[in-house]
Amino acid sequence: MGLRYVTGSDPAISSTDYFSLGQGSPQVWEPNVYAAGTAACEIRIVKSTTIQPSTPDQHQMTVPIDYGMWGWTWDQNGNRTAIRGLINPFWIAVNMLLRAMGLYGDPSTGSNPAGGTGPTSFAQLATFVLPSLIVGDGSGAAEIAADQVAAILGTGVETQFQFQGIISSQKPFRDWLTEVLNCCLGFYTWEFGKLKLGCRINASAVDAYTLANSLFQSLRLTPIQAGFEHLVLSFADVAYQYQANTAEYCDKSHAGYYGRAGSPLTSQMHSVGCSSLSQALRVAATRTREEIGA
Amino acid sequence: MASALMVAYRDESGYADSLGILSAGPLGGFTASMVVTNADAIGTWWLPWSMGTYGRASSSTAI
Repeated sequence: MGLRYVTGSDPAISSTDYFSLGQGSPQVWEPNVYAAGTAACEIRIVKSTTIQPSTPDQHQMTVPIDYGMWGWTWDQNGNRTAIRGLINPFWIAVNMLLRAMGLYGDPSTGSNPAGGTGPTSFAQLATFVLPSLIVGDGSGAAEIAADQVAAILGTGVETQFQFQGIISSQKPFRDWLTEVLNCCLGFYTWEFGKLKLGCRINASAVDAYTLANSLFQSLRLTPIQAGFEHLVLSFADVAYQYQANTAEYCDKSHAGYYGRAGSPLTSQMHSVGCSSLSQALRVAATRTREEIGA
Repeated sequence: MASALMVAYRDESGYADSLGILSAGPLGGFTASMVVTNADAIGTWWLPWSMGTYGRASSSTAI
């Protein structure tokens, strides 16, 4: 067997998920050596008969992956479904919370790595506000992300916001939550101890402040001071095998109004989950117009 | 494409064997090979590959 994949289910599949190099032909693996919950790959290749002793860090391995990690999703009635290769950034944020709280289990099997039955849907639903994600009429954050919208570049439609990236470095959950939500114009807050998510998709007024509901002379407004009017968003572009690419948006009329058309205030932002230029442009344009209050 | 964290490697007279960690599990699935066409309409054949003291080898030479 020259190529062996371990998807990383937990508990591990005892007949195939050995976490060791095989020996002999046919290969035999070290018995009872597993790394449950760890996806791995073993490649055995033909080479010259010359033996060159080396350490593992002198080698590299790259593997194409069809689907990313499994994750839990719910419908508006609270019915749970396990999804293979979850890409909706809002559901990914929820699954990150579940993992942090030890309620993730193993969606691929529904089992519980700690033993016994897997985490119940009821226990998981107690950690986040379901109606903030899915309502059923398309207004939930997860539904907005899954909308099919016209592509900014090219023709046809595409998923409005998706997350395709690597969550690699060790950072606090709150920091990763911000990173993930950055790729879908998302925001979060806590409501009675539950994670509540939202999408900044609509900037229209929802409340009116008038003489009828304000204390006299208690409301003072000042113009928004924009920190930037030109945003350069860097991301790993799936169209170029995840090489770095940038999406730029500049509000030239705003820069021109302030007399700096030739050198607009510029800011840079990196998105860990944006994978297409179209999505990156969508985020960059909205973020810039939020900043200048347009 | 996922770059692995190499954890074990063994050089034998006829073959080399390597083991790498890809991610936390469970992953949805792997692909043995696929052709990906980029934005410039250039197709690339993607295979799992490893590289080391023996040079670069893809899974098409796997035994």
